[in-house]
Amino acid sequence: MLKQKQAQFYYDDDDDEQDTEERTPDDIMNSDFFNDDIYDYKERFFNRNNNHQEIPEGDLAQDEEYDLDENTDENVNFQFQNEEEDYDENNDNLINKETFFKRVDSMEFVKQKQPKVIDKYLIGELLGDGSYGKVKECLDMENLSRRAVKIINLKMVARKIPKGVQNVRKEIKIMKKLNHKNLIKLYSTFEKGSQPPNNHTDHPSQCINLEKPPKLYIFMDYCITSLEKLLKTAPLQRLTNFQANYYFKQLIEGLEYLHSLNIIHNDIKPGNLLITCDDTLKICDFSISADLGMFSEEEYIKDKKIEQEEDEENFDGINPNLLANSGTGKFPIQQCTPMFQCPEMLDENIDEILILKNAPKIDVWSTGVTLYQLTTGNLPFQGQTLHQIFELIRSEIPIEMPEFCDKNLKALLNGMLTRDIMKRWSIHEIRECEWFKKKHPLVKEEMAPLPQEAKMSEANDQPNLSSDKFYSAEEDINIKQNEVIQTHINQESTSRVLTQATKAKKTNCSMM
Amino acid sequence: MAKNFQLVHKICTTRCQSTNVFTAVSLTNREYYTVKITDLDDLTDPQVILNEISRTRHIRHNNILPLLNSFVQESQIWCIYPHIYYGSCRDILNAIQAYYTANSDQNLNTNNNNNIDRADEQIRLCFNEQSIQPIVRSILLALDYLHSKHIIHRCVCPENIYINQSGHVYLGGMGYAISLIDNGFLNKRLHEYPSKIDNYVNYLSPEILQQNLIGYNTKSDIYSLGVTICELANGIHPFIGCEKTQMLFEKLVGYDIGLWDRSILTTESKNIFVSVCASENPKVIAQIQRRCFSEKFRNFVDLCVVKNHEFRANCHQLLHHTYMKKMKLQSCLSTFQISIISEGLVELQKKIKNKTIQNQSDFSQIVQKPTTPSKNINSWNFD
Repeated sequence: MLKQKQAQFYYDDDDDEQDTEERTPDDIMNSDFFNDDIYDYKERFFNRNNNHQEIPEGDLAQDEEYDLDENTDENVNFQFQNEEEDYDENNDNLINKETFFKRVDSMEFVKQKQPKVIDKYLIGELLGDGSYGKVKECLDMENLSRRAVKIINLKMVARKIPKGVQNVRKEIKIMKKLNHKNLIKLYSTFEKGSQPPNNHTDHPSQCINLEKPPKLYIFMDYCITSLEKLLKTAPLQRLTNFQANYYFKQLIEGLEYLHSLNIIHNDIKPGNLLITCDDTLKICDFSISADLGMFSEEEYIKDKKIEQEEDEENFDGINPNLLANSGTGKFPIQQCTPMFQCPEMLDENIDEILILKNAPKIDVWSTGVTLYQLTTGNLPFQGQTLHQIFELIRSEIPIEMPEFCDKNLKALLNGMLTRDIMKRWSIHEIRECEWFKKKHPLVKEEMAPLPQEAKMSEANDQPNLSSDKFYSAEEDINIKQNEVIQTHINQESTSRVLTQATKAKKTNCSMM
Repeated sequence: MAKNFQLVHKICTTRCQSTNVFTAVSLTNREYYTVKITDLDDLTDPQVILNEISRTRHIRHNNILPLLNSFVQESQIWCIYPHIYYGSCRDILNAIQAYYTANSDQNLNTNNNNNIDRADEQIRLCFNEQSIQPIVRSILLALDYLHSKHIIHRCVCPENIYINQSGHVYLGGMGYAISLIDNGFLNKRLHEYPSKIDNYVNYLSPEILQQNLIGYNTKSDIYSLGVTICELANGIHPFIGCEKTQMLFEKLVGYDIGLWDRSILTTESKNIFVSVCASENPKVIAQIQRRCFSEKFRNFVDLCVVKNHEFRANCHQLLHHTYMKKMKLQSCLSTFQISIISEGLVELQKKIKNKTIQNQSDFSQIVQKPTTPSKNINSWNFD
């Protein structure tokens, strides 16, 4: 029973593995998989007494799934393999002496699961889930660099989110333009099951018609955590001034670059701020950001009515077509997460031209909310319903600051969370602020640690742990070749590794 | 400035087909130089070549290949290096390999046992324990210097170890080097993964490949050096024939690389070795069986290729290892060793060409050329 459960466990994994067929336990029992093993074992057992001279080559090759080159070296190869098996048997016999059946290793079931390779990337463990799709870890097979991949089910996105597919396309377009160390980098995209990516248009209906769900893979930088998660693990549920300042500076750097390209992120929140291994902040998720640049190729350019040509020079860099289109219901800036929504977007009689002129201030507001959350641990505007939150944002009630915030921080937060868009601080003013420039004391005890589990499992050199989640998929791909190695790692080396691991533990303890 | 150099012949093409390496004669002083010409038009990312130029200009060490000059000629960057007579260790390895395959063909035809013995002898002579020692020592000195400047080389491999006519060993290829000092701060660890390093991924240390929070430091160069020594001593790369993903797996959890000699075949560890070495063939086994490394050398290599970088030795410790002290201190290959290598190479090349036993007249012809080492060694040797 246990075996069957194990087998099932590896099958019902996730809907991504559609290629592998569902197999009932009966199928597994009937498959030549088991029978072969028994046969194999018998063969070996009997041949052992004959000094293992004749092992039928064909069977062996099948069983071990070796792709042997058909050259003259085969004989020698077989000699060595025989000896290895001999060695293995001895070990097996020591463990379970009489049984004819080979001990079933879980590795054999893992083997059944095909490693998934998209383009040149090997797909690994799930990292996170979002409204647009999953994010998985992956490995570039050419240069072995670690990446993350966002898998977007276009069919589902088209059904669930209005303008979903367009947003995805727009995100890719924007990401291709970016090159900054605080913005997430796009390496490549891959589209499966829909039209070739060249003539893709924004018509989701075309994608839906296909049998297989069309999927879009976006390969990006690998990050270990987000500020949101970091905040949860922090000892005081908030970051220290030092840490908040460290990340905030990087956030401002990234935003400034983004605004210099006339792109408005529009969705700044701790969940969209990722942290890489080297503690660099990366802004991600450009799905609802707006490109206001002169050359943005949004579709609302088509019905143009250029009226205010004389005003153009005032909106340096902003596409005049966007301004001309105001009031036609094609406003480029979309609604973002409610808690981070800025007041002017909630206004009923919204002055679109004013907002477009001061579009960077939208990001300043959400950055202010983010900073508030980072330093205090709470959101400035909270409520039971969306309506309550929006009312609170729109009202004129001054924002409460907790006691522990110092004077400079309060000034900065007040400046960023000014409801009047004209009086709200610009990024330049933020840069000039005391709290931004000041060097904050480093308090180690109150620092939010980067994810500890990854650190521990990878720090120790234990063979089973350090091959952890990420590399499990590779084990599969190499399992054919590794089978032999796996079973034949001799006592010496394992013990050596183990002693090393214990040493590592000791040193870790002493360091702590 | 390019007028001053007369290109003699092309040595090789490297890195994305846009860099060509030539031997050139300077028209001003009639000396040989190596000229590396990079065409900027075909170059997708100039970062590597720019990094190489700027890094090399900031450092100066006896064992690091100096950049004599660099300038832009139309759309090309020209880098002038001193003339490297023997090329890189990779070239020597290739020559051995070519000889080996040529010889094995011959062997199949004639089945001459004598020939095999001689071939093995030749190969052992080229990169034996004694001749590797000064190479390793020179590279260690160079690395020690770089590490004292907080620079990580990241690309220590046979391609980047050059031997010139007098047996002096240079470390080159600073294109992937990175400094621990960033923005005025000295970092303890780095996390940046050299993703453009494609071809040399086999030499990267496990902690670089892991790309986790721990990062890597200067000790990752030591691991690369260990792999390089293994390749020089074994004649083939420890992970030859492996898929890159499997190589990664092996480096992280699997098989410990090391020197392959007689002792590895007699114990149970043979199994590991045989199963990993995918390009297994009886000749390699036979060759390994003849080989025997000293305990000190084996220990030295083992110290280099420890998987956990916490326990790996650093440059300074390795320079004082008994293997380094065994012979008298020398920063370059001795006359004897260089003559062995050169003669070996000449013989190898000739044998590849002719597939006949060496002819006395042929040899004398080679000797009479002005650049032939066997004549010039004595004049170059100031010991």
